[in-house]
Amino acid sequence: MTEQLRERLASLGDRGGDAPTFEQLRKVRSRRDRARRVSALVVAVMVAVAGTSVAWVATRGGGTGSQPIATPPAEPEIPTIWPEAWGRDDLAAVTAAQAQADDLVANVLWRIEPDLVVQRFTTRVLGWTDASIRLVEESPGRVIYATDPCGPSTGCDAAEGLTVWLVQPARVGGDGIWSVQAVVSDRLDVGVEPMDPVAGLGAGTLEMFLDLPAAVSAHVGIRAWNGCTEASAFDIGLPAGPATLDVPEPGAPTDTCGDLGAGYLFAYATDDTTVPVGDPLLEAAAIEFPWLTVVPVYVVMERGPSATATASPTAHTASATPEVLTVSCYGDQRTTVGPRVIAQPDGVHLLIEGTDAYVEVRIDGAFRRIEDAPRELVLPLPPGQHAVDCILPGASQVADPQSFEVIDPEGHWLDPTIDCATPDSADFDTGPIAVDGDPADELLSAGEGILRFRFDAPPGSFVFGGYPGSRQERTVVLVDVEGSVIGIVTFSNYGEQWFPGSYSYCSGGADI
Amino acid sequence: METTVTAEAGSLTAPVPPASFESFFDIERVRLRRALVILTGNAEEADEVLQDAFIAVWERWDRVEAMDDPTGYLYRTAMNTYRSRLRRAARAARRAVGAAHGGDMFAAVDERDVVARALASLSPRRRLAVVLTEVLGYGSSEAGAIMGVADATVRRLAQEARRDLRRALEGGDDD
Repeated sequence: MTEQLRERLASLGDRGGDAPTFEQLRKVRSRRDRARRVSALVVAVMVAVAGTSVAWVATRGGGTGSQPIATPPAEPEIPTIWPEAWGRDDLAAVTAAQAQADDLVANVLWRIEPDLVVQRFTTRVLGWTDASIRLVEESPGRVIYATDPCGPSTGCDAAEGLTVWLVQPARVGGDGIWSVQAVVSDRLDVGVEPMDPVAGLGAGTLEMFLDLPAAVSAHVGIRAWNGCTEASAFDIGLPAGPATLDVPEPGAPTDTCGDLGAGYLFAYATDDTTVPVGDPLLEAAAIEFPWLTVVPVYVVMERGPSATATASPTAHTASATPEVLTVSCYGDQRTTVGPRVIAQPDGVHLLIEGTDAYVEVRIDGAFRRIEDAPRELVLPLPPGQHAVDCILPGASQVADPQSFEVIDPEGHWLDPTIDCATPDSADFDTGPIAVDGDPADELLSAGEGILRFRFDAPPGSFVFGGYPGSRQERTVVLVDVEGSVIGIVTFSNYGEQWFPGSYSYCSGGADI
Repeated sequence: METTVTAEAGSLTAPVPPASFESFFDIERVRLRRALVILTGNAEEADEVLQDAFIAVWERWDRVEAMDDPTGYLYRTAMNTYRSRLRRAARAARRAVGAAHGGDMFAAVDERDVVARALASLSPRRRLAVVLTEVLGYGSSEAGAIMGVADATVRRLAQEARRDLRRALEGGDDD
């Protein structure tokens, strides 16, 4: 290549102004990080809406004896106390209302920033105008803060404060919305621990201990909801020292509501001249001291029988759409876990489980025999509805297929359907394509080469159709400037070698 | 700011690790941007690819700075970003027919420049090969590492690109 041409290329490259500066890059990254978090929140809200669209109905088992501590469920719901209280408030409704606000950042962004959630909690519930907030512990899905009323502008020096537990009731990946799960003052010991497992309370007397100075009273209570009714008990004006709270007696069983209610146990303190207001999470309680304890609990609300003791406790727990869909083939049962699965760059991942010597699964009518279950299949299923069922050894007939949906939020899938009614086709037998490492470039180059037999001057771009990272088959498509697929060639992987199949092309232009 | 740390062609085999991401950015930004403008044919597109690539590197900087060749990783990231954008553009074009075009901006930007027109006619892979080897001065093995293809493939693509460019120049340089 001549030096002249090289210089002219370099000259072309210097057109269009200066390269971005580091400060510009920093701003772009900041904006993107923020956008990612807001996007994650919106997805989390959608998941919450999808997962909790029905009223909370407790179908959990629990003890009904005279002891106040009942057996908690094996897999508790994710408990929260604020801004939505589990049992009473519908998480989906609360978050959806916030997400529909005009100013998304002002109304929603604070829900995905745990320190902002604590800050708002101290303002709204405790009435502190400038709280000091310090991160104590952080783990996936849970953070713990220490807070006191002496923020920088107050000039005061707090001798004690509160511990606030935060949890993510709706979560997507590492992001999601945050809620307060518990708040604890060391002075107000309500007799149950704030952390998992959540305590279950049956009828009986709960013992507490209130470490209070003179002229200060504590007010304690319990509230729980099972979707039908509320169970509650309050006691006010308690002095320092040991205290008790009677957990409400369970009522008669009903057909529609579970025997356990979800709610919280609380205690707070005011001076003796302040009239207590009741539930401090619902009403301004004039909490002049940094003394508030609220912990989530279950309460036995209906008398036995505990016929629902084995019911699934996670029926409405919000969860992220999985990247792998599990298909279980055991005995006469055939189930898929989750109604949908997220497409990956290499296709849709299905984990086939089974205990028999082999199982057959029928996916969209195509049979596949699995000898060594559990085994993960990666299939080029396009986004949309699909059907799967298991055919166990010796089965004489196929059960009704169960449907699932493939969603493709990242846009991995490109529909490789050719856009003309009567495409021409031809075979191209080159033998295996030499591939060293990632086959993407070699296959794209090979596909381009094959299609160039029909399109000497291709009026568009060569890209991968289907799933671009598929390890089974890859389709190279020629997309014209109008966005139509006017040529396709598919490569199949056999024994780690890739072979081209027949190719198709629109000889008379695309029908669009 | 440009320094000579990695800016000269062929120096990638013995890069001096930059002290921080910011200094790495300052060292590489001008040269990468030049390559991307040629590759994409559009300064705005080049800046977006550049920002995508640098941010991706920045987010992984603790691992990237420990690599033997952070610059090579940057260029691979930029090229992958560019290819991804091409694929997304094709998808978008299919979804909104007429709302987007898959053409190259060079021809529209500079109708009279025969080199620009010749570049516009090259496939993205050929253009990438010629940018890496002729503009940035990489050897075929280094360019192959960046493109994720074999040395021979780079040589073939660059040869085809040079042939097309030479023909274009010989066919009439009306500049």
